[in-house]
Amino acid sequence: MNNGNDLETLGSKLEDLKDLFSIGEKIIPGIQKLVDFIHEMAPMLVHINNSIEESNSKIPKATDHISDVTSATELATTEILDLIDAISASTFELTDILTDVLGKESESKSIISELSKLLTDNPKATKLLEKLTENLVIEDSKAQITEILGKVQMDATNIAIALQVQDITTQQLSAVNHLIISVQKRLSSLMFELTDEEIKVVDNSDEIEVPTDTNFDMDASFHNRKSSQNDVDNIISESNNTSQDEIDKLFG
Amino acid sequence: MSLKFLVVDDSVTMRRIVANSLKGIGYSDFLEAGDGKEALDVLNANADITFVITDWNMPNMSGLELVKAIRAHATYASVPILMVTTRGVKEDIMEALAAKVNNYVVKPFTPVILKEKIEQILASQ
Repeated sequence: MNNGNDLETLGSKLEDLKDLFSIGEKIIPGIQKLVDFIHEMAPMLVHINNSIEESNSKIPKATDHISDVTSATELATTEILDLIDAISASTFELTDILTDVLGKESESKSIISELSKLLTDNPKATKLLEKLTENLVIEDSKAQITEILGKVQMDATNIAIALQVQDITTQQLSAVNHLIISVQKRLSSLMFELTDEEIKVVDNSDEIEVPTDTNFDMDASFHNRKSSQNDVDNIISESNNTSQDEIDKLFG
Repeated sequence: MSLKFLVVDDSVTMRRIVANSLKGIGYSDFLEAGDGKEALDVLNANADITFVITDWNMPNMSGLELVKAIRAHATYASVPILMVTTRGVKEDIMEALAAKVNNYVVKPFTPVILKEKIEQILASQ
């Protein structure tokens, strides 16, 4: 009886083994595909890792470049402002010279007038004095010269005002720098080492400090100053109808 | 009344533009500071400062922190403050008003706007 039971058990085990082989036959191609995939993935992962490493190494250079651009534009802006100051000083100097010349012309006219009275009996001298008076025309051009000087002065002021764009772009570039450093920190946390046995995460992000001193306006822009100031004035005007207590409550 | 301004901005360019604008509208007495902390030092050393024009975004101490520090100070709490900044959203303006700035100008500004705001502040004093 025992032999019969053993044979029955053996038969059952062989059936189980057969089922196992049958499952194995189905699974093996899948496992093979997985192995092939991992083999294909390994160089790709190495490539990704190298790309992250390469990009990361370039980031400090990029932020340095941006800082250099900021410094260069600030230097250039300062030079332009120096020139504008020089132009302004020249226009003021020209205005003073004009006033001086006009004073002298007026004096010359008085002298010629007195000379004319003294030389009434000398027609030729009178004629010459009249000719001389006709040449004293600076007074007639005074309005035009003053207008041109005023325009030069106004243009110089407008150029200086437009140079506020330097401060605005500096803030935009600082915002970009901040963003780049944040990306670098994130990328550094994604680095890994690929060995035969394992994929080991190498998080170097602690070494990168994202500046907390965010002294820039991410939304700084050089748009229509009149409409912008009008918007601000409207907000202030509305807030004047709001009690200080209500405003304070908004900001704790 | 003769005014002595303190112009606070971390940008050399902006300090110069504000200073030139002040000169252009007839105010030639002013001092400069590069951030809020430096501004407080200048205020402490110059009791005759009668008007502060400050930027918002600055290192070390922002313009908003400077406004709060001035308003909390026994000696110069009542000095008029004009905020000149790129920040033009309503929340920022309201926050500056809550900190008790006297008026608010957005960059880029013109000397005409600067003059108008200074005069408005002086008229309300």
